[in-house]
Amino acid sequence: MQPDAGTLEDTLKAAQRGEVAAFNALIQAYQHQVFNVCYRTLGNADDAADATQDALLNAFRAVNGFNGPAAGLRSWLLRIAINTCYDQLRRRQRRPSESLDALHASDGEQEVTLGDRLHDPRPGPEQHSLGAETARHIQQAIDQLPNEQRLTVVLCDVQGLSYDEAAQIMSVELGTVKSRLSRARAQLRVLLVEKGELPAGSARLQERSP
Amino acid sequence: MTSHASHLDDEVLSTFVDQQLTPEESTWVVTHLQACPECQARVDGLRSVAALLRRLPEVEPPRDFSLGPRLLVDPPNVVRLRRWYTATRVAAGALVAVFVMMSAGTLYVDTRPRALEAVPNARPQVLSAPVAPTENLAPPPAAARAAAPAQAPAAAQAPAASGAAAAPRPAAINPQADDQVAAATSVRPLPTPVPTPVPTPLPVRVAAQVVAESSEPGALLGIGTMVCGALALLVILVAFVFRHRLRRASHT
Repeated sequence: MQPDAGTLEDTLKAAQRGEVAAFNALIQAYQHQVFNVCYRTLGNADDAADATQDALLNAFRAVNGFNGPAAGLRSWLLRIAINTCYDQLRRRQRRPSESLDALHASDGEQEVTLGDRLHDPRPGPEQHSLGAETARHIQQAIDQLPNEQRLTVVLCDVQGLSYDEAAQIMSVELGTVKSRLSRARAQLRVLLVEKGELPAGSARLQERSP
Repeated sequence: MTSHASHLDDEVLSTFVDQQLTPEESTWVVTHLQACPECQARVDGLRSVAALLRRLPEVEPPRDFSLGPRLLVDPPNVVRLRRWYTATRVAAGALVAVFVMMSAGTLYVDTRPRALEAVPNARPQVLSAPVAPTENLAPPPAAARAAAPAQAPAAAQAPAASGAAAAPRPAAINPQADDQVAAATSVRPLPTPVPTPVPTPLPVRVAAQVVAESSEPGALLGIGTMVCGALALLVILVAFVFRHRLRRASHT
């Protein structure tokens, strides 16, 4: 859903002149990915929708300050999105009782089936290859990661972005991306083995190794 | 170092899974893996995690996030409220500044002659005459706003009646707990404390007042200060009301 480079450049210029319609065209191009990053980072659709809307509105207000080539627009938007997500996560940590409630709610079977219906109104073709139950287990495992690792794994593995782009989005060094990603994957493996989504063999080997 | 001497760490293996190692590093890892089933198993584990995550379905956004007019501009009532809030804040700030300056001025004018004046015990008798008229002059601005002119002279008479009138004065203020009256009355006692903010024996305070009354600029300044303080409090109150309304309006 990426617009071609020439159009993108023109649209960006128009958006920077303050044309809302042009910026909305950019939103059309990127909102799907922005929402997905927020969704996997925050773990639920409502928060993700709020974060997406906030991020895009902030992006519109700041689009004048974006002076890179239009090709960097996605990274720029995603950086705003993850910063918005961070703010949400921080707010959540300040209200521990609420996040605890959310945690309990996500454990409840009924709540989750309702949530799944809300989150995936139109299951894509991949949905058939990866069951809703497995997807839910993976999301729960991602939710248990520390913020930085969670974000890295969402960008690199779920979204399939390059190390470079992830580093740019998170404003960190390439090496930081590598180490966070490896720790996130190792942790996720343990969690997914616990949930029975991965065979136990490799995890036991991991625990024995230094 | 030989490739099997120690196990490779997760970072190297994870980067290897993504084929992001240099060709040399890659070759080295491959060599190690051939001889080390444990690291091979860990690579498989990391790879299976990455593969599983990549198969997570994309989620369809619940709605279109295009920016509509509602999101870009505040509704007119919010804009208006915000304008008023800003205006009252600026006004309150200015009034407070003026009030502070005038208080300082009053203090200066009042303390200067007081130093020359002796403080005899006979003061109350002298003051009963001059205090009443000027005290009656002072209240009108505040009293008119408070719509309680009757209470003002009553309070003014109190010190004149008894020399040790420390108690009656607070008692006269307390009953007026009403909202609007409170704004004005909290300033009401100002003319007396302003000349001598530090608690001083009543005779001294009274003496200072008498001196202040004898010098016209001091008295005028005192009245002005009082009015200014009352206005400042009122405007601050109004600003708070606007802020409250603004909060409520922008939440909906």
